[in-house]
Amino acid sequence: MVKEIKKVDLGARILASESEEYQTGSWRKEIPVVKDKEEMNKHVEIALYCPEAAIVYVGGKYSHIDYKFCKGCGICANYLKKVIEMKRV
Amino acid sequence: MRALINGNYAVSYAMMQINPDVCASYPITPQTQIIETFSKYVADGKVTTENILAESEHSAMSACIGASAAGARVFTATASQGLAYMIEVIYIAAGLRLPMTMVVGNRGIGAPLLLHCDYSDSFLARDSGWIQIYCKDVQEVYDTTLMAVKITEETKIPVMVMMDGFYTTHGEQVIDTLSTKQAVNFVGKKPKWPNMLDSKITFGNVSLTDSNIEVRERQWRDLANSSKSILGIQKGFEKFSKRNYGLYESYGLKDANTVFVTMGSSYQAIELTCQELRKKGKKVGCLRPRVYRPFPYNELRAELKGKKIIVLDRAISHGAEFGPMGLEFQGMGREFYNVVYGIGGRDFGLEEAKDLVGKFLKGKQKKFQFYGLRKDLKN
Repeated sequence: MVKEIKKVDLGARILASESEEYQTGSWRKEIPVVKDKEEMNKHVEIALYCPEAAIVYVGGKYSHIDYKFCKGCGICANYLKKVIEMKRV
Repeated sequence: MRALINGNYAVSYAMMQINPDVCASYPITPQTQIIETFSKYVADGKVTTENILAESEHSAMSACIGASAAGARVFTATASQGLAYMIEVIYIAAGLRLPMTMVVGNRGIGAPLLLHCDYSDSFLARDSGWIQIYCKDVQEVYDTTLMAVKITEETKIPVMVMMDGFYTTHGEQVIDTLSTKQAVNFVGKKPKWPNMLDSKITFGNVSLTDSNIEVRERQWRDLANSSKSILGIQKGFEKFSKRNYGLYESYGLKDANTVFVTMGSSYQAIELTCQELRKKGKKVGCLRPRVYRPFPYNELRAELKGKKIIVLDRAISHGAEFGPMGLEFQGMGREFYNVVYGIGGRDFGLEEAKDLVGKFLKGKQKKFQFYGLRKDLKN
């Protein structure tokens, strides 16, 4: 749900943190499922491939996929075909 | 320092003195020399600017937007078809309220393909939300380029500085330049504005029916109010350079019955003509809008009250009753005439100015006309 805004800044800019209110997880038709966590640790760059920054690494180790924001675009599964699989919701 | 220099070199010299963080550009006649010379400054190590030679004007302006959003002091230049190609992102730079300076060497837009001066390129960006300043000679271009950097950083509105293609871009003139120390002191340290890197700001958001008109109203209001900043900065510049610039320049307005309005380099021909006629006792005057956006409507309306005004237009608004400048001035003065001249760089020198002014002093003229059409060219 979009919160009603009461203040708009110069050029309609917002703090990056405000965009967290737009949870895009509900757009998803397919969900990425990680099959091998160890393998994910070898591919930290996958975090940068995700347009929603929903693949979370903590201290260089794979932690989880944030399904509140994952749109199910499948870019990660396409890049790491053997590690991530897209499943119908 | 005194220097014999053309408009293009004056611009790149001014920018060399300022040493901006980023320059992203694409060469196009008649502005190419700016990019050429500035790139040489970069290659010679005279500046530390990140010089991005883009593959198109659209990309050049896009890079400028990104750099400015990241907090960099940005400079670019374009003209004609290049400006037309850039137009989508020109609107975005203004809409995002990003400071940047762009110099335009005015050249008409095709087709038919052309190289010479008219204002159809920068008038295309008239409603984009940029500040637009039109210069008459090389000295003014040099000074305005320096002032533009300060204006854009104070107002958070991008600034476009215009000079006439070939007349001013390639016309050489003796000018007074500031020492680099003076220029740097005047422009000052780049102020910090909220940016993507330090303030974690997201630019380019969606603003739909719930907020778009408010964002636009703020943009309109800030541009209208920016004349205060422009005047303040010009005053600051005058203090040490002894060169003063207003929102417009005029000659003999006070007691003139007839006033000729024109922009850019052709003002010089009109002014010389008026000065000569003054000696013969004719009450003529002339006026040159320098700051075209924001346009000083109230000031000009007061200045021109009760006078016969002839507005010269170096651009066409196809299908309109008058040219773009004519549309600004209609309703001002007691009597109003609009003349389209110099399209595609058709020369308008002292001879033509004398002829045109003479015509209007002599007898009845049409409300709208093209001046200087060839009679021997079947069309």
